[in-house]
Amino acid sequence: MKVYLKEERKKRKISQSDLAEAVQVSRQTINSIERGRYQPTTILALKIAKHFDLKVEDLFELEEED
Amino acid sequence: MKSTFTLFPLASYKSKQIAIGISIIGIVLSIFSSLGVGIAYIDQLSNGHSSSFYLLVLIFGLYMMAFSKEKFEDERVKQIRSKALSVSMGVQLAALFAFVFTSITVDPTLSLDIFSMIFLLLFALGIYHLVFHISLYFDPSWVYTDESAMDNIKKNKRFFIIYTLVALGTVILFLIL
Repeated sequence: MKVYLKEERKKRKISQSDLAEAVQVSRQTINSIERGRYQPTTILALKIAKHFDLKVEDLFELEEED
Repeated sequence: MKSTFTLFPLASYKSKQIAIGISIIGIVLSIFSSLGVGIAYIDQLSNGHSSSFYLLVLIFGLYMMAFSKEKFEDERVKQIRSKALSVSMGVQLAALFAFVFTSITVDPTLSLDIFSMIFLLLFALGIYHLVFHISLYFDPSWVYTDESAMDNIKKNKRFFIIYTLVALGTVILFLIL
């Protein structure tokens, strides 16, 4: 899965900690999502997308091998 | 969808802090006991098995830690905890199976004494804490997937080496104690 979270976060000049606090997870979780290690649940993905005022598909993209 | 009933709810983060204190007390008392320094009342209470008693304190602390929440208990922590519990249970069951198999095929009179039971308890809790805390702080990819063991080792050589070294160190420490 391709993750565009880091790019969108940097565009808006938001730190990992600020985003984590906004969506009620730890900073390590945001870091793990950005590195493509952890795949968020639907609810968390929706929360993050809502925070950026984007669609989930704008932040997370399925790859062929998924 | 929120569920309101949990069979075995996690204790609060404050419980974890208390549990760490209990575990440290258990380790310190065990070390002193192995050096021949003990508490007379505990010697009496435990019928001379004070070293086992102190290890039980450590086990209780580790058990309480295992079932307490982290400071920030989010979905990633829950997934890591679930994986650590399943790995620990798998290893523990394998160890018990090996013991029973040996007992049946080699020596039917073989039985679990206090030390063996303490070792098995510490082993299971040790494996759990090892997997949980290393996964929590180093974030290896295998904890979130169901790849085969060989694929995991190939992709995460560094973590495999860390786990092996820490596990060996724990065994050596236990043998010294």
